[in-house]
Amino acid sequence: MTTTTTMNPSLTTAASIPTIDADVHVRWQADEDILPYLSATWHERWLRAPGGHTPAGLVVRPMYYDPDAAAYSAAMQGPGTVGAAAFPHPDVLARDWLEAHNLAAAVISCYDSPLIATYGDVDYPVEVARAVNRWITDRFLEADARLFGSITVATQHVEEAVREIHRAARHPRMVQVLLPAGARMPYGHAHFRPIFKAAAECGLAVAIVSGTEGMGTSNPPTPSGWPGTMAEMRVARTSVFTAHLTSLVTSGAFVDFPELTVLGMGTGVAWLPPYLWRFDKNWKALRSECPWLRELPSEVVGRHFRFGSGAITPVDPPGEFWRLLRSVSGSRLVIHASGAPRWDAQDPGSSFVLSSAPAALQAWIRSEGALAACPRMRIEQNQATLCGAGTSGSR
Amino acid sequence: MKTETASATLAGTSSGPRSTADETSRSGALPDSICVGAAADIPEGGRRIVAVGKISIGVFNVGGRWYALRNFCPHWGAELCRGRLTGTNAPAARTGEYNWGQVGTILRCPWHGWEFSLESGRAVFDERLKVRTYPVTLRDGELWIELRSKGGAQETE
Ligand code: FES
Repeated sequence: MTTTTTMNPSLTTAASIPTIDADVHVRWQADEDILPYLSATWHERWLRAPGGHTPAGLVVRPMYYDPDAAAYSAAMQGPGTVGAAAFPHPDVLARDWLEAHNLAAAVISCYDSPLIATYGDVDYPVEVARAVNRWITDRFLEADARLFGSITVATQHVEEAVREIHRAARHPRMVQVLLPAGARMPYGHAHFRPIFKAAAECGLAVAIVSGTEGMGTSNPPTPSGWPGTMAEMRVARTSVFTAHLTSLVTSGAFVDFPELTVLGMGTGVAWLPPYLWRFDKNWKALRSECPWLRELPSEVVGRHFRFGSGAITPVDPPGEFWRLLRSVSGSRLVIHASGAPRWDAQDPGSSFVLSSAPAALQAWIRSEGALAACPRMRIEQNQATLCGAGTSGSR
Repeated sequence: MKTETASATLAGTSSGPRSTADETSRSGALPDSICVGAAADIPEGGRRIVAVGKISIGVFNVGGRWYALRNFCPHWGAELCRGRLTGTNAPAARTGEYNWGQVGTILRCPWHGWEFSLESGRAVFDERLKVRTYPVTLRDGELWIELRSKGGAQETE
């Protein structure tokens, strides 16, 4: 096959399409910043745990050597933030990311907060989730109308998680619920269904975030057990997200909530089409076990799942990547989501996905996909001002 | 369940199936109908597989009703009529809803488990996918598969 490497003509027109970054990470500057949101009972624990967020209770975590760990902390000391783990302040986020790359909006999350769902105990993560949500609302959402928030929940206590989703969603620019990929059970399990119901009722997407696989009380990062190195784990843990996807589809989560979108962040997507070939094939024989699933699984996935572009591996030639996606459920699976300010975050100008996507998909990847996934999110097309959904913003 | 297989020749013999159009069958085309033997030899719940020229057909007795299907799975060509007879959960509107039905008239392919309706020959997962079915008639206690006309089950007299 011959491939041409001419400039993608869509890039010249792309500047006129507003771009949303669906995955930007924020974090508190000092652990003390969270104290006003936590009851006094938990202050000591919060402050004594290094970084304020160390898993407490049951900790099962292999100590992988991460050769780049020192580089992140060095980057965090410097004046710029790109390369750091998270943006510490809305002004910094606006200057170093939104304005630097002409982004219309960003969906932000506290990057390591989903980890609390892997703690062994219950009451502390329930409190921490609420505290983090209130902090992110006050600190970021109230500071900049271009920012849209993610709701952290403690899945250990489903009733509290549901209560917290409804509470936090009173802020109209909260647009999604954040779940860690590392979990005790696949997310289609009935245990979690009220969380998905609450998300659907509030018009929120659910984002499943890679990075916690094997941590705390979650299952090992591969079904075959523990990888030996970081290199091995980063590649092999895809199967964890795959299990959630399969479980959600077969259990009928999208029959229950036909408007719901689930986002895979940091999961990649090139593995998906061959997996769906197999999923479709098996459904033909085993559909009687999930009779509510009345169409090919690939069709359900194509309608209800979206994947952040951040962890998508550049493919050479890029046309093969798009051909693969088209082979199964259309190409609307991908939305722009950088994972900034991680060292490997791709801004719109350097993104493999945006630089190689067909012209017809540019608007979808840049903003339409995120807007469709998160129905509460609104951006004004012709100006930089953004507004939330029409619901009351009282908190 | 025991599956009987009849070795079939197109020309009528005392042991194999007899056909109604011996001359056309010699030229390679199928006869209009073919006799698969005495109805009494296939008990309720039983089946018989007969070769008709190059093709193979399964005849089933389910609760006194007779069904005949091509013994060839449209997926990868397994001998479909050697599959298990079972029921299925009908497509449901809601999660948690199980409507077990078509009991005894769902044929599951022995290879990959695709489900087919004995009645219509259609795959449960996609009605557009169909296995050829044939009417079965009973004449003087003998079962005849009507090869020319399309259709499904036929009541016994
Ligand atoms: S050959 Fe029949 S299901 Fe595959």
